[in-house]
Amino acid sequence: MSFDGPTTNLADFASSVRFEDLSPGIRSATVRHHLDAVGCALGGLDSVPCRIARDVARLSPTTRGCSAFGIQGPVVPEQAVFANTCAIRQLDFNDGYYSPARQHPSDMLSAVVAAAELVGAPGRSVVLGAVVAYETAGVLGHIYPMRDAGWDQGAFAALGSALGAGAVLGLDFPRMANALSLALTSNLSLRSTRAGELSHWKGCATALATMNGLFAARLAERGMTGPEATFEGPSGLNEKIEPTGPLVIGEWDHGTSVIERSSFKLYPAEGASQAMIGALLMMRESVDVNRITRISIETWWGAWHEIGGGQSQRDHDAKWDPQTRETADHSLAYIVAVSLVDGAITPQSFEPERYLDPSLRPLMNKIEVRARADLTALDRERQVSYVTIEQTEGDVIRFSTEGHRAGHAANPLDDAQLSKKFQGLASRCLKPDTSAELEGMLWRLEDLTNIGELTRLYRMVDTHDRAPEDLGRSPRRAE
Amino acid sequence: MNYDSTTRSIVNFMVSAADQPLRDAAVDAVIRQHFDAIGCALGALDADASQITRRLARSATTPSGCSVFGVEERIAPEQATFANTTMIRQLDFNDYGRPGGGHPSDMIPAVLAAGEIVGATGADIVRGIYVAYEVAAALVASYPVERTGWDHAGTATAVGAAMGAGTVFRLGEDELANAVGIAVVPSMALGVTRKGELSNWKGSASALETMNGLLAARLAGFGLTGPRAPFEGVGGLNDKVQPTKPVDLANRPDEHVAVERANVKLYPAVVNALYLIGPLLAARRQIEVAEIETVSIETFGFMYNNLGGGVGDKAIKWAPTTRETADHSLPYIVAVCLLDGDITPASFSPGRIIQPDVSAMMARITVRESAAFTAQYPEHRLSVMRIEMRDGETLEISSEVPVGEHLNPAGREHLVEKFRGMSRLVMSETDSLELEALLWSLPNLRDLDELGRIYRGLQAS
Repeated sequence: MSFDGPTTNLADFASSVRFEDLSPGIRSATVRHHLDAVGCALGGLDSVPCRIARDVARLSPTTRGCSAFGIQGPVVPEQAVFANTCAIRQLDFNDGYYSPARQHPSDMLSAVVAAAELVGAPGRSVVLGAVVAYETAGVLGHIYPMRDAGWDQGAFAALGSALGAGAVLGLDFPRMANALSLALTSNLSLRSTRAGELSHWKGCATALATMNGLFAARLAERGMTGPEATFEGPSGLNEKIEPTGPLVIGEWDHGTSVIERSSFKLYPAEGASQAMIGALLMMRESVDVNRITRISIETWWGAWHEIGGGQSQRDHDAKWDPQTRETADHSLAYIVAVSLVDGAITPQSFEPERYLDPSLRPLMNKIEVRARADLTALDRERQVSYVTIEQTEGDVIRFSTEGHRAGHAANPLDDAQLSKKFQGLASRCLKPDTSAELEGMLWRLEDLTNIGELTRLYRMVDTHDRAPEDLGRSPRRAE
Repeated sequence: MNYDSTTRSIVNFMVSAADQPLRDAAVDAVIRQHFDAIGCALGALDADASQITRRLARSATTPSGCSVFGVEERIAPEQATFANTTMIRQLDFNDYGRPGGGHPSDMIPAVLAAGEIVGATGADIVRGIYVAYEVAAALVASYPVERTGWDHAGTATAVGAAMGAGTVFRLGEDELANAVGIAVVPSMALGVTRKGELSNWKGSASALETMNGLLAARLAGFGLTGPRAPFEGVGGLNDKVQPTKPVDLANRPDEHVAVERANVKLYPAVVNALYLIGPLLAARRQIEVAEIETVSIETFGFMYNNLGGGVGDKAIKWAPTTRETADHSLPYIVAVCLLDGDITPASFSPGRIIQPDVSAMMARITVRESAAFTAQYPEHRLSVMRIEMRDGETLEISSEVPVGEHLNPAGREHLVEKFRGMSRLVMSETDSLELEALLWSLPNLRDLDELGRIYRGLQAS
């Protein structure tokens, strides 16, 4: 067998790294990101896509399966992963890694945890698998500009999930390399998921990728082989997306691992809007919303393109009149208007009653967003934008969002802030004592002797879903 | 709802197809392709990849799941579909559409799984298969996927499978449109699957697309919404592969019904090689194989690149070590034809691949591209083979349209002979006759229970 260079390096890393190799910093970051992901999942469970994902998963109960949030018994592994990633991702509140590929790495944790459940692995295996998933997907995100090349996040989410799950399953090098190639070859996903009026699929696209990632690992575990030169071979990834540099994996001393450099969100809205929200909430007292005549926002290209209507006129029109939750939390105009009017951004800000409210539209129509090259050239983690708010009687308020990005490596959230975010989200579906029990266990992830102790609690979440017998065998919700 | 025009074209077709009666020729064609696909799965039950996918399926058992060839328990729908498509596809013996169009019967397991989920009739299955072929063929006709370095087992397979399953689920208009969007966006796959030394994934890439297509239909049926402009919108498929013409399902002449134009293989080898295998086996009877000095083949670029070592992979094509590489190696196929006088699934078994007589024969074979032939592809798949004997005599063999192509159709007796060649590996003659009878009466089946029972009862040898 002769796997190509990148496949060899990634699979070698994934199949040889041990829990003992992980620094205390990496381990503590992993516990924090995992806790944050579970909180996001609990907060997202009530959404329509999560209900649908549970409807599907609930039709596949099994004896040796995996736990899905809000489903009493174990279900078939891939369907559990789909439902759980949908939940983690749903509120657009989970973590981010700002490589050129734009990633939300905690999407992949469902695949890692499912693998651990299948083999009854301890909490430290989940830590190890999570680190493998973050590191492999993250270093690829650095050298493949997926987003600029017009691709969505699926490919590396699938790959990281496969390798993270593979590490938990204990795949040897050839099986690991095959898991990688099975996951990468067939999981490229089109960016149209995130353009124009957004659909439920915005919160589910990576759920399919993580599901297929676990599937790839389980196929490879049983001996299935994939292409050996997925990156460098003819019609491989490099022919489609040229890497910008060599692959470097496992050089992560002194806080440079991907998981330590991944950021948390303080507000449940698209990542590039975080500093803007922070700055607006701070400035709000000096603004009189009723007197605003014009808001002009200058931002970096990525923010303009992703949430500023920069993709096309159709995209712009959709973002200025959001008809879905998914469009609203990806609309800078909407987020700015709600921040100014409500003085807060919470999951409720993205409920239909709020985003369909016609009274917000006049203010949104006064908002202009432009990209500025010098801001694009800055480190995008700093999220620097300039805002000019013009009011009647000639008042002009100008400010920068610099310094308002909380939750990234240079300005981290501490454990108490994370805990507060978790409790706020968990309160949507758990009683305080259950929430406290779960949270305690999440902080003690490394000490759990079997991940089942934790996932048992996932099954006890009451989501007030319809009983399985009401679903029948048909995929139709209603005839 | 504001869907892009390709999505609308597909959905409009689906709505009009939902209640129109199918013409007899289309129903007959569905029965034949379905029959042939099942036979291919029976022949592949023992293959390594089949065993792997069955092991995976057994880790996804669920009481009201679907049937898998050779697995006693019922299996969750997606995992069942993956395993079944892998088995249908495994021998590279199932049907094929137009050039670059892949193997449409790969989609059949999604339709069958949908049928088992809702307790559909045979007539529902016929309509689902008809629709899947039609939608996939329309996408293949517009998107030159393979020529742009992508895998043919991509979008067409996923969307066709989603629409086939969606037909069985009786999805409404918006649900169908959502299923299209959900199926399209994750469906681009790298062409690397079919280059260099081939892996199991050659036989399973389309299985993943079929499985994703089924899931798309199930999710949409429960109310999940998908991207509305997955083809023409920003970041859509058209940004990656420019269509050569708009997808048009409305104005197709009757004689262009996709399932009627699907082609059946009578030899388990890659499509382009079939054009040479027939005339080569006929010519072989006139020569003394041991006296062959050289065999030189001139062929069109696509065959040269994919099967003839034309992309710098001669070392691999002339020394295959896997079934997948061997059945995609023109020198291997030609050598085995000459040596054995036939091509059967056993021609690509590990035991045959390692025999020294094949490598000795391959060493006598050269393959070159002919620009003149390349210019006539894909309308014609032309090759010429010159066999030079030790005594200096030469024999020239030209490619021919193989029996089984829709323009040179296989008779029912060919299909039955092919089927029994494979069913005998895993069932008695009586059982095969019983299964054949059920398959020929597909449109009249009240449900799929009996077929499912037979598939679950199969045992690999």
